[in-house]
Amino acid sequence: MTRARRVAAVLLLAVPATAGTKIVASAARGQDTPRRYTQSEVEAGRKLFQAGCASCHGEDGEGGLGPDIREAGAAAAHFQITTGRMPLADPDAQAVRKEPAYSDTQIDQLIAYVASLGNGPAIPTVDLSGTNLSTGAEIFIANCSPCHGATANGGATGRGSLAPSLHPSEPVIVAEAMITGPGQMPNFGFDAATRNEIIRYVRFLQARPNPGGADLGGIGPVPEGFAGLAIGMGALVLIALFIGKGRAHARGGVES
Amino acid sequence: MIKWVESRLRVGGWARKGLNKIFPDHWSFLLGEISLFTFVILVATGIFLTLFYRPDATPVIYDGPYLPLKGQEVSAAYESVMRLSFEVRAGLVMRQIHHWTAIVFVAAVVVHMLRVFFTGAFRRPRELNWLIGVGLLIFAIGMGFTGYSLPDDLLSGNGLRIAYSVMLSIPFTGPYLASLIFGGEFPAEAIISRLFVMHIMLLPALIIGLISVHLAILVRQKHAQFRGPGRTERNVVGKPLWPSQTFKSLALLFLTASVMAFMGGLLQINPVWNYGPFKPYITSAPSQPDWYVGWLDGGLRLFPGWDINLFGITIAAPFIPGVLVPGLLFTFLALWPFLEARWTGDRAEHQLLDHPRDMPLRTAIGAAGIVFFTVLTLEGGGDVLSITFDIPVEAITNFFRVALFVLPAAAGMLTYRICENLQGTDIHPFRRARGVRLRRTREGGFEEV
Repeated sequence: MTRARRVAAVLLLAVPATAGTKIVASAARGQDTPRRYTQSEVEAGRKLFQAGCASCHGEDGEGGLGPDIREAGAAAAHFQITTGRMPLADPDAQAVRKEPAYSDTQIDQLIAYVASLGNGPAIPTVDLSGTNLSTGAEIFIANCSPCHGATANGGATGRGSLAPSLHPSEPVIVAEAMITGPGQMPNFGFDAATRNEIIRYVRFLQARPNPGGADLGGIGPVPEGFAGLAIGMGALVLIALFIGKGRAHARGGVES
Repeated sequence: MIKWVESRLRVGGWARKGLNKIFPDHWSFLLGEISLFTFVILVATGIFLTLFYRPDATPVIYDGPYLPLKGQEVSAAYESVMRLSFEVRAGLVMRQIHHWTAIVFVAAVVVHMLRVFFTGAFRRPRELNWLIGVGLLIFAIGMGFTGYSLPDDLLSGNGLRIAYSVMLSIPFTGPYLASLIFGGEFPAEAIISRLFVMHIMLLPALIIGLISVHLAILVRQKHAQFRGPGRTERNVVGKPLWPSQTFKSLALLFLTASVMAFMGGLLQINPVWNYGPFKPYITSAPSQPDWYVGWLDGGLRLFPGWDINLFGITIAAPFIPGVLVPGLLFTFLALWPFLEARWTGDRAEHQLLDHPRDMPLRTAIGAAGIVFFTVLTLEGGGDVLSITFDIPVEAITNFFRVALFVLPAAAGMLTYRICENLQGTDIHPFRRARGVRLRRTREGGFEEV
């Protein structure tokens, strides 16, 4: 690992850390070392869970109105709670990103409790060193863009649900989505290396590299057509109105 | 110099007559010129693009400066568009000007056609030019679709797949026709080079030929004109080609070019590097055609998946919205001058244009048609509307299924009533009424000033 790469890796790890989460950097790439939670964290989390989550997910996470989450693991809990998707007011509505309802400490406690219920996946480690932008782009276009769009701006997936924009998503959140398959999203079963390749490309898209000018939302021909008609045709009609005004002093004529 | 040419070609009289051709003063008469000038810009930028584009589906490994694609297998066509976009000097801006101009070109043709329709400029003796205009519209859409397909990116590949499926759905001949046009089963390699020939040779030749006839007929028949002081069925009042109209048209040409350059330089269009190279097993979303094909896509999305079985013959679902309905609509559009003459019984020559309000039925049908196409076009972007307005995509489709019939009827009836109310007045529907200035007389009465 070159020095520059190491610095880059540390910087990238710092992104989710500032988002209020604790990431334990794993020594070997592709391995997620589960974080150890203390008994007091689990206990505090259990109280929070029973107050805020049990009405849907059951007293011990066995499910009810909501799904059984005993095998959801720290990854799903971290994904759902830090992005504000859980708790959800209306169990029939799609969970969307909003301000988290809990403080960072409380989130850790809740994650500790959910993780203690079973053997679900741990919070993954994102390590972009050694990844290749091109590999990530190819996998993203084949697997992610059919729902999230080629520029990760989101898309409609039918039956009232939509694939959200990935632009506000921190790398670890993207990784957790791939592992846990939240909502309508399938669990892709990618290994850690593949996930890291994809996240590399998502971060590239998040920087909005827009050769050619303003991207008009990056969702293809619909806004392009609208801009062409409104700006292009609109400007030309105004120009025609301006030029087409008859000038009284110009020499007129009659032809029969 | 002039003498030298004149002594050899003897065109003086002809030229003098041409230079004195009269152009009526009305801004809407410039819409056809905008169509012409956008086409000129398309030819100019298109020649530039042709110098670098390779119509070749052979797979190559991309090794250019755009890192997310480096090392991926792409077609030679896609690779050449990437090279054009990132390595050829001014290549990207030329591509973008070309694409924006294509979008505006079809729009200008449509708006020009609407002006001709609503003012009755298609009536005898101009039915031929109307038919040529309908042909030009069809070829313009064909130009757009073939051009959209050339880069061989994922988005355009999906468009080709839809075109192929629609061709397959034609009863009896469909599979043969699709195979003949694509040169085998989709995705056939031959299609890229065939589209290229259509896009840069066949269709431009047809369009240039038809424009020439369109203009020759215009000169021969002279301009129609709006009613006004001194204007009769037997004259044309306006400004001569030289000098007045020449400078107006030149100004319009340059301003059109500058609008297109402005859009091409500042607004990104069709970023094929985001979509990636075409692969038959991948589709991306949202995935739409350019706006002028959107109504066809909308029809396919709107129509329920009914495979109709008639006397043992299966009519596949895409046939009705993809072939039958568009075919009938364009036939209706082309035959409109003759249908109207039959209904009104008016077969006389007309040089003076109608005020739309004076022909309420025609105006109402035109308004209904605009709404009909708008609903189909919006449905073509149904999934984008879904994410933009957070409405389930099925709800949007169901709404448009009803709206496709209700809204045009409502728009037609409303337009009819508005026309009736405006008849006999000179009120402008979009401007404030000027009113009448009154003066109070000594006797206490009022009189107009």
